[in-house]
Amino acid sequence: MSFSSHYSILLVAVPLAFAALCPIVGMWKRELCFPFSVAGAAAACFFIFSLWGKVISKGVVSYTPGGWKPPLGIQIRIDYVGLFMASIIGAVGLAVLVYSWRYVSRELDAEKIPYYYTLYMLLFASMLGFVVTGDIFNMFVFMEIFSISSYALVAITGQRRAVRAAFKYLLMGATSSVMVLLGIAFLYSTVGSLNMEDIAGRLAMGGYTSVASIALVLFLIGFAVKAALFPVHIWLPDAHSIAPSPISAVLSALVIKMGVLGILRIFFTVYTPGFAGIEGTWTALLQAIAWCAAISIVLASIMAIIQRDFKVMIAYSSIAHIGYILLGICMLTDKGLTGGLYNILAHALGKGCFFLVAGIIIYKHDLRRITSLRGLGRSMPVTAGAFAVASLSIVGLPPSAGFIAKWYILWGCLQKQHYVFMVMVLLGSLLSAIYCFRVVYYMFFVGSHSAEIDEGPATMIVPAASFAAATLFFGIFATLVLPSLSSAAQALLAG
Amino acid sequence: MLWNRRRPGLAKVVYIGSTVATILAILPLYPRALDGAITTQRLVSIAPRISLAFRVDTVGFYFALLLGVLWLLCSIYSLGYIQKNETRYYCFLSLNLSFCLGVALSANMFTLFIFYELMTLFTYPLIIHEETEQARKAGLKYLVYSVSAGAVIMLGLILQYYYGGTLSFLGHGTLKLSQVGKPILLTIFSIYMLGFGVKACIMPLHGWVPDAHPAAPAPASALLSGVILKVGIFGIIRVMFDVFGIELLKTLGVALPMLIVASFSIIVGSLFALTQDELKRRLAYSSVAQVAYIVLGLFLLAPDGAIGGLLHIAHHAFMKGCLFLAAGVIIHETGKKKVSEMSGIGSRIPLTMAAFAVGALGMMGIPLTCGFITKWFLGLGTIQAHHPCFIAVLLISSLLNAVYFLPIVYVAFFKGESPEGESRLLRRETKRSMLVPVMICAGMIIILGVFVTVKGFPYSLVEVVVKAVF
Amino acid sequence: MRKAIMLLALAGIGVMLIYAVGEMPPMGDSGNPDKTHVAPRYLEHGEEEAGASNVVTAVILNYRGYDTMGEVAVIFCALCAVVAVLGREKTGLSRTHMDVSRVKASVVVRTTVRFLVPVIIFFAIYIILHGEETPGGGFQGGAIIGASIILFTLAFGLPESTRKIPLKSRVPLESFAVIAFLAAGFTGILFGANFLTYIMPGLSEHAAETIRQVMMMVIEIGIGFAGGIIFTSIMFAMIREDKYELQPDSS
Repeated sequence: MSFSSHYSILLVAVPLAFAALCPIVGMWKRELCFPFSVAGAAAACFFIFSLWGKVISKGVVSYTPGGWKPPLGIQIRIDYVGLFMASIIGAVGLAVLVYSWRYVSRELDAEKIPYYYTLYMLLFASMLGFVVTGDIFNMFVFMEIFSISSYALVAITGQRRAVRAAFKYLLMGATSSVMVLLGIAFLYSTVGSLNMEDIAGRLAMGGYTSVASIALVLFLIGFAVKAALFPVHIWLPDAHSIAPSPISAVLSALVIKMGVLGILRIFFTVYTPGFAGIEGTWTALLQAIAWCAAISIVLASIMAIIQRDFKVMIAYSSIAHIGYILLGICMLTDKGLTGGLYNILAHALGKGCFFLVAGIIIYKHDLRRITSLRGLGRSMPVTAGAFAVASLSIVGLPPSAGFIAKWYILWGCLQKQHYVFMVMVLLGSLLSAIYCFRVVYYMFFVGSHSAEIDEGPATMIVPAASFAAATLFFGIFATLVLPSLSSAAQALLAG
Repeated sequence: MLWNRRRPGLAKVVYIGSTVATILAILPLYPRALDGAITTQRLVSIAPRISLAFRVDTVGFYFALLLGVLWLLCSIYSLGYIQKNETRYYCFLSLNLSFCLGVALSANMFTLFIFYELMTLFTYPLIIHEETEQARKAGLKYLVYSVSAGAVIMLGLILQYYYGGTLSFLGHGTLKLSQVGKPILLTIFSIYMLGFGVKACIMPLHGWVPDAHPAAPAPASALLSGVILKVGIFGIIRVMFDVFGIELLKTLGVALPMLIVASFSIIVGSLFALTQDELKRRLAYSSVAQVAYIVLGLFLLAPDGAIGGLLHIAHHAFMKGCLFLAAGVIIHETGKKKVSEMSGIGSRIPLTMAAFAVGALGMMGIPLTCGFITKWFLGLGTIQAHHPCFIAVLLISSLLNAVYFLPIVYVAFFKGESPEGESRLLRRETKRSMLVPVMICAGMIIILGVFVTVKGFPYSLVEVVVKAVF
Repeated sequence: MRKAIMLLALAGIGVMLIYAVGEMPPMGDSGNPDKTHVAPRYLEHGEEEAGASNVVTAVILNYRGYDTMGEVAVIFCALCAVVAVLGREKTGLSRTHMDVSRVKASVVVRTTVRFLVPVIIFFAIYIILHGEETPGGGFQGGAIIGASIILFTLAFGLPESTRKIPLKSRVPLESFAVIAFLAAGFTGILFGANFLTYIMPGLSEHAAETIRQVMMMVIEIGIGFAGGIIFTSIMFAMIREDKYELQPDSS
């Protein structure tokens, strides 16, 4: 067996090893923690991107730790969706890690810094583990790791507000974990297996459909909380706005997408579309998600408009975008799914950039109110410019990745003749234009004109600017990603 | 070019240079355009059957050339007019030029939409350039209108793509009645009209125009009115010629409602103009009316009408350019914004006011100005299309134009005390960089009115376009 | 209103769960799906395949070892979370006595504890090492070790405990479980098998068996000690005097 065949496990194990070693390194020399973690994340990125060739040629890469065949042991199963998510996690995670260096070294006590990096690497590794696994219990385990580490990272400053937000997050998150665990338990009692594909096969054999459908409801509630879908989104605005900015970026760009991926896995891999027995529940729940998503889009955008705090506004916008993603997915057409998945990318880049920009502004000037951002376009042209570019993507204007995503989502709606949803998506775009351009307006068109250029440190500027550039890049060269995504969509729809 | 803030002078040079270069780059395409040849260039494919692609055809070339010329005039003018934030201004001006050219030379609806949206966004800094409270309000209004319109166009785009299967411009309609069905076609059509109508300020959707124009600096409002409104018109042209096709439009029976809307725009816009005291606001409402001429001409769905409409794109660009630039000189030199304050300024800035008078005459459609040519063809078109009643609209509007423009000229020259002679002799009229573009515009109004059929002038191009379409 | 909605939602979920439990396969029936699919294989071949006579250990360490690695990481993560939010123990402050009452424990208590702790640790080691044959193993043993140290701290105070088990020795031990697991995993890759494989290819049966035993031992001991130390560290971090509160808001 060649070394490259182990890439699919190494992309989880290596960052995990770096996480475990990080406190020891930190005890020895605190400054080394940062380069050490970067090395770990970079190695993971290398493994992730090397896997693309194999996935494209084979469709699915399977790996079994311990060598046990799937129903017996755990299977790592990397398909298009999983690798797509893993690539986003790798790239965004690495960039934000670089970004957080200066931020953290000023905002946190020296004692906490090694543990910041440790938790960050745990978060990074566990998200990767979550997206590549083919085993439903394994998914739960990694979900616990990334949940716990994100609660901790929200609260890491130790400020009372932060702890309170993290506690709210923890309560909601723990409840949702319990839901997922109960779902797994119910499912196991009816099929006796934990491997997702195997479950799908055994579910199709029938029996105990009512238990299986209740398990589906539990999964849905659990993952919807993680994804911050409309009625259960209440933890998000606090947690995302109060967390340190690099963490907000990761939470918004990546962690809530794990909930989306959970829904995808449950609805498309475990309970396949159109599988006999519980189609009724399946379809009804999907409809429910679609409506919740559509309401999310409009409601969260309105909430974002009325916010005065910059980061809270961005946080609400994340809820709206989760709405877009899930709406696209719920259309159950290849185009809609492609659009939903593409929006995962677009939103990760755009919202990542937003929070990083917010972080730079807080780092330099400690400004949080939108109206206080006046004149920043003058003194911090790159930062503010990155925000302006990323807002194109968040609003969904061409030529940005967000536009492609919306285009496909609309297309998906059209395929199913859901005109109401189309209107809601467009309405969401308009509302998001209001809250994004308001900030751009304050940055560029209000305030003094003589300010000297006073940018943040390069390690913070470069990640933010490269996210902004990437939104444009993926808006123009969408064909680099779209074929893989439509394969992903077709694979998901085929079950 | 973008970040030359420290050296505005350099930015200017670079900017003017690039504008000239653009025109020079467009010109060699002329013979091919005259033949009606089409050059297509695909840049990058964004999604299956959607790509960023450009094509040069006659109508695109016509529009691009017009853009280049007017942009050059306005930017020369800006050299004298704009005094603060120069780099930002020139930066966005040149970006806008490239986006407008992108619209003109796009090969499919998708590319057109991308550049259209970019242009929309990047016009905003031009409108609020003065950064006054009024400008901000106007800018906000502009954004709300335009971004909503953008969303609406996007809806149309996806519907067209889904039902028509392609977004490319193929020189004939790509939507088929037999495949799609009338209700959906009508929906797509009205969505597009709604979307582009905002930028083209068709009457119920014109709300942003009277605020944005007065707020923007004069050269920017000249561009707004002269060209950027026409980008909306250009969108409508593409929708008519390349998405639906004339035949399909005739079957759908959408022409008459559009004609009525346009006539409404013409007359009500003129009436509104009449009531405005602020000069640039009056000009803005006049634009609402004038742009509706173009729509009227196009939707006559007759060759002569279309010629008139298309010609009016260029004619109105020069006329309104002339008027706005002259208004800019008035504001710049005398500080007067209201019509009622303008008595006697003719003696202070005689050349400018003469140019203004020429522009006003053009607007009225007096023979020997290009406005007359437009009206002539429009008149022919109404007869050709068997809608002769719309001649009345033209006449009424000419009358109204006379009523709201001539008093300005009158009070400027013949009313009020003559200022003290010495200052008139001592001070030159205004900066040369501002005067020259105004005079060129005025000259063009006459030249286009007299030498209609000269090769290279709008008519020769428009003729090719119309022949290809009808 | 809010409460009413909450109650309603909870009631809904409750009813749903009760219904689901009612519909579940009969408890303990040998024909249930969960007893006919993978479980028989574990029961029948667990010992020979996985090398542990205790089926639970076989599943935890071998069949689903990757999951267990994740769970160990969860515990490690919990420690990091506590330390990151609260910081390490604060021994340098005015903390001469650990407990809130600031009264030293009596001689009887201290003597008993001093006697008990070694016994408890000894028992814990037994639990850890015997995990592959009888119920027990790293997690349980770790919990017992942690309990013994907590007992010691209660009697002697935080400064005494931290002197006995200093931070410098605790930090590497905390990571030890994850590292041991990963090391075992990478050993598999090194020998050309899959990650976390216990039977190495290309070796004699005896050598392979020995390596497997050693690896399992290392992992069990790792989980046990790391678990114990992690519980200890979490408790140390949480010991606070009245005055030491969370940092106030800066804003």
